[in-house]
Amino acid sequence: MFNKLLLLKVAMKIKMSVVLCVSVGSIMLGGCATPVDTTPSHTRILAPDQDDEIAGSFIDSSDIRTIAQQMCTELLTLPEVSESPDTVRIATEKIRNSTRYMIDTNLLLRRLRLELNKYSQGQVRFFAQGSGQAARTRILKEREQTRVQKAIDDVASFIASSDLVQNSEKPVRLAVVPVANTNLFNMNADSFASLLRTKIKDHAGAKVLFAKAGSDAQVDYTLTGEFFVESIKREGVANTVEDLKWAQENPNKWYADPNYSPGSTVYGTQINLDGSIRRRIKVGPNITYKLIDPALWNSPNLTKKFNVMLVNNEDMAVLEKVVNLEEQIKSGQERANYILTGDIASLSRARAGQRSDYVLVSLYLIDPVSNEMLWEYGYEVKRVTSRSVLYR
Amino acid sequence: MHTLSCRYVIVGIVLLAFFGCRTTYDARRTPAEELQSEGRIVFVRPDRYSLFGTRSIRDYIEITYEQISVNEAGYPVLTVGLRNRGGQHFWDTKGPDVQLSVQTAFYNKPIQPDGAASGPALYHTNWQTVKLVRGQTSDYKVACPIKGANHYQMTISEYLK
Repeated sequence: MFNKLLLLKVAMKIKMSVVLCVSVGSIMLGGCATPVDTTPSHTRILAPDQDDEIAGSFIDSSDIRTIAQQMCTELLTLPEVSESPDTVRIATEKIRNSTRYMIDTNLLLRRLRLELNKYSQGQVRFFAQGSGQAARTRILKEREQTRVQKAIDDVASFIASSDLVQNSEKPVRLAVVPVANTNLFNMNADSFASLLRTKIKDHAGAKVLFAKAGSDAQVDYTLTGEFFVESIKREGVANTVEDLKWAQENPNKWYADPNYSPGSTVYGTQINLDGSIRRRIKVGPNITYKLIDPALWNSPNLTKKFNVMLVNNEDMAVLEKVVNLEEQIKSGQERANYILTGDIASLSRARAGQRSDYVLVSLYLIDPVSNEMLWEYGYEVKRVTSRSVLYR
Repeated sequence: MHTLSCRYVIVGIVLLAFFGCRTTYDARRTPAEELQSEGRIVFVRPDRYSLFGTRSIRDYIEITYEQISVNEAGYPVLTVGLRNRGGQHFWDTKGPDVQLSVQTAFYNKPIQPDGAASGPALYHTNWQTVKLVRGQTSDYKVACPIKGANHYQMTISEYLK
């Protein structure tokens, strides 16, 4: 009996010890549990310089970063850059890829730009070639509209304050004649003339009287003018009469714009210069001709000016003023000091499932005036791989 | 007696349970002595160890020289001679080619006496690959695009994978 009791006590103690150990162990292990796995499935995040173990014998991200890092300091060290009193502006040209691999060569230029824009402290600047140009054009065009209003106001003020008007004993009588070359701007000439007339009247008051449009009233002067562009090439289409003449002489360089209203057109027949094809053409006032040669499209990107004239009864222009109505939207690269470009070349070999590439990356700085290469940088690497991948 | 021991057990379990319930823990700070003992050129410990032999970079690579200078534009340039001295032990049945990843940090204050605790580096290069065939000495050159950062610490690791 006594032994049984003893055995029972021992068994209880053992049981308690086991329970205690299991409990404590569970709690301790619970505190050591591995945290929730937050890595994306089947994906490992690498440092940009780290090898991705996919293999390949072409250049890698670490090569591009190394090239950018080395080039940045070398460029900043050049006397043409470090000793220049002004900001050095660099235009870039696409790097030529002479290898058999598909690579976005602009990646290299972008990485270099990042380094230089970060560390040059404004000493070096690049042009936004291809980036943000649509927004830039919109902004500049909208600013121009404000400028047009101001230009009209300036012209009106010029005329109203001229001696012709101010020193006249009687009110000066003016007739408005449509301005020439309005097709150049694809502009409504009547609206332009009305705006100008209104502004002149605002500035001159009772000193100026305008004849009704189309009337035969006796006037002192005719208010007219012409639009022209700052270019020695033939730009756009001059006017309706010249449009037709030019269209007939150059049938293979234009075609009718299908988007106009047919109500104001006149139809005719055009025979080509080679006599082979007859086609019906549409001509008429204020028609926009879309030209195959983009250099001759309406509203070319050039600085457009307006020459306003007051013409006397002897057809002599007694007063003239030229105002800018539209500035050419330039890329800004005329201010570039240098051009940065380069090429990537490789020597490739393959045998028995192995492939090797010796890659030479060259970048150089060109003076656009003298066409000299004033600096060149080279980076070379050779790799061999037993994983023959098509594009690496 | 039995009831008393049960109570103690329960209290102990509850206390242990609370030990495992902290949300945050203080980060370990690198001891100042450890940072102070670091030199200007350091090797990273190997990525793995083997029972026999060694993968330590120090066993294969030696520094022949180190020079810091300032170029004509005022930017610091560091040149270090890295030599692959080949296998030095009986288990090296051949002298291996070595591929390294090297990163250099440039400071405007000396590394010593505070070591890397002296503050953040003004400029870090990326991890650049240096390949050394057996017996080759590479004049590894790195420049910093920030003037005045004439102090440095170069970290050398086996090729990053």
